[in-house]
Amino acid sequence: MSRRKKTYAEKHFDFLPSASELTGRFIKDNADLWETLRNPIDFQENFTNLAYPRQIALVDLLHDITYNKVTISPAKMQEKLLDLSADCLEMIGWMCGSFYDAGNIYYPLSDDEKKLVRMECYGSIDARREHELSSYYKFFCKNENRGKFRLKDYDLSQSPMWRVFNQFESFRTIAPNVRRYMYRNGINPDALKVMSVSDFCDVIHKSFAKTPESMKALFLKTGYKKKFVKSFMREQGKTLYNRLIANGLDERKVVSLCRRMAQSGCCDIATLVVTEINFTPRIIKDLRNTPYYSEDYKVGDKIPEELMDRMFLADKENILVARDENGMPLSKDDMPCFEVHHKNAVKFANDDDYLAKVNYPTNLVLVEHEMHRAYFHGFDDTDEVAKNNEMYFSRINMYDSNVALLDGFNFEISCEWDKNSSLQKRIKQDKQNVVNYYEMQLQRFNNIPEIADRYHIEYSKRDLSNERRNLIGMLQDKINVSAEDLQIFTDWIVPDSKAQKSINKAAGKNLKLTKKNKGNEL
Amino acid sequence: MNTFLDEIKGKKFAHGEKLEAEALIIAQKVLHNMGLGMIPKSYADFLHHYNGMKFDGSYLFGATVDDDLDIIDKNEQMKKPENTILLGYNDFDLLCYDYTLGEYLIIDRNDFKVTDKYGDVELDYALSKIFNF
Repeated sequence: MSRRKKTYAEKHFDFLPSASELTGRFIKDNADLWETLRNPIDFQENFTNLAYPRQIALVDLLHDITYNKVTISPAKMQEKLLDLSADCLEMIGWMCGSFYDAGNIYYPLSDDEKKLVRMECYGSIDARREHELSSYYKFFCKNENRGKFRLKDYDLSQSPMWRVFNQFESFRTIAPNVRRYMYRNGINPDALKVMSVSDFCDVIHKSFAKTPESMKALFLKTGYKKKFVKSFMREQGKTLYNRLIANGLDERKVVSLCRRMAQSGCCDIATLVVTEINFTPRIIKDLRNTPYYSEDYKVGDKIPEELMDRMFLADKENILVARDENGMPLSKDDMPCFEVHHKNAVKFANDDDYLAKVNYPTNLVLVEHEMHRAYFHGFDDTDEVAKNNEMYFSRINMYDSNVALLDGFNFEISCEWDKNSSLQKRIKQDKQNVVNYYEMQLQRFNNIPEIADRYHIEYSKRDLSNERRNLIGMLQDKINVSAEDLQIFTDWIVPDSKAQKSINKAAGKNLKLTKKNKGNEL
Repeated sequence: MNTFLDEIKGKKFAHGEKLEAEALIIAQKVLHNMGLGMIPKSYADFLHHYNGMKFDGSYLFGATVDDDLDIIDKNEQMKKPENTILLGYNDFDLLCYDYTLGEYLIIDRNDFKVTDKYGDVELDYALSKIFNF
């Protein structure tokens, strides 16, 4: 058996802790954690004094006690431990500006809204499968139904579903690309009125994909996740540098990480190449036979940024790799692995406000990978409520919008985002473009009969019935549309008695509509 | 349409050690003992190319000793919907395989709602959705 196979086998068979061992963890290997726990008065100080990995271990332990209900006898001790762990968790939350939000009822976002949030965050869009596109859009994309139109005919404000995209700065910037694509491909502008979110995704994907076969297309040069990291480094890069140096990290590692974060907005450690800061004899020797060499380079001099950029672009950075005294590349085991975390869940950000703010820098924070897993997502929980689409939801949220990086539980770096003029401009514009997704969907549905009749598009009864059922469900959850619109809509879809009954109930049975209202719309 | 492997060609990311048959069997056995289904064949085929992958907050798991990518550890540690095996995650979503339906699912990490479903032959779409560069 090879050594590698044996290692994997050992990991999961020889060292798998038994249930009894799990209970033993309180006193066996975790004496320091136990000491920290049993001293509630000095908890904050003792917790701060623990090394970072032990802090994570303690959080894991508290999680087990509180949520996995690790059994301890006698029962009284279990109760005490539960109280104690809940208090300690609250204290840890307070130390890093967070709180445990549990037991409240929320409405999940629609799938379409979720997808837009992800696209903006990554700046990329996935190819759509044929069955994800609406039959109306597919009709207008057929060669025989294409035509010659003027660019000015493509008024995106006429499209209910584009207005959902238009809430985000990123999509507003690519609106000209969407119009141009449709114009160049002769897609009838009337399609805009009935296109779905997936249809627009198809247009965006095709506008930006390197080849039609690409699975993913980048529609932004830099997604908002990376933009956040770059902005942070512009504002507080020096502070992060000082912090990492103060932690005793090799300067070469710190410089390489900060450089990468500032230039590409990427924090990934696994793919990071740690380079030397100054020329070494080895580097000069290796450079000598390359086009990058210059007689001016001397051992001990600082490696110019411009040379580094050129070598990284050409994938030749390995020549600059930093090595230890044995000539081996430096280990990256002690380097912090930061990840971007959303301070408040996507749906919370939209609950009483507007969707676009979820990817604002004020809602993002850099946290170390283990803290991200064990603390910020360690307490996520969800439980569907019987009625409608409501959910109970538990999550660690953060209340300080200016905290931009957490290095462990007791060190933070903040940015004054409220003084950032481009963010203020973005907020102002976003607020002007807020729409309600369900209202837009309703408008789209109202447009369908008119467009379908005009172009003799066959109704797919099954599609229509599915869409109707979905929309009824959504309307039931969030009655933000006017009662009249709701009634007009239900009249149009020729409701069956069950659907009518549930809609009336959802709308609070306050539907007082005149015949005139009904007749005007359809 | 390209495959996921075509898409990631030339990109830099970290991955687990080369998959060995015994490691896959161990993973299947332990997952089974945990009351979960088997790793689907299409995903196991993918693991022969890359035995788990990670880059900047996106993870695909494998039968590997890398703690961040170990499919067994992650199925023990992370919350996931019932009747599913967790295969990966990113900032927003989980990639799970529903072994009762035989479908890959993209699931919102916050509310556990399924946002996309992919058949066995559509694994490339699911991988592309989770793994972001």
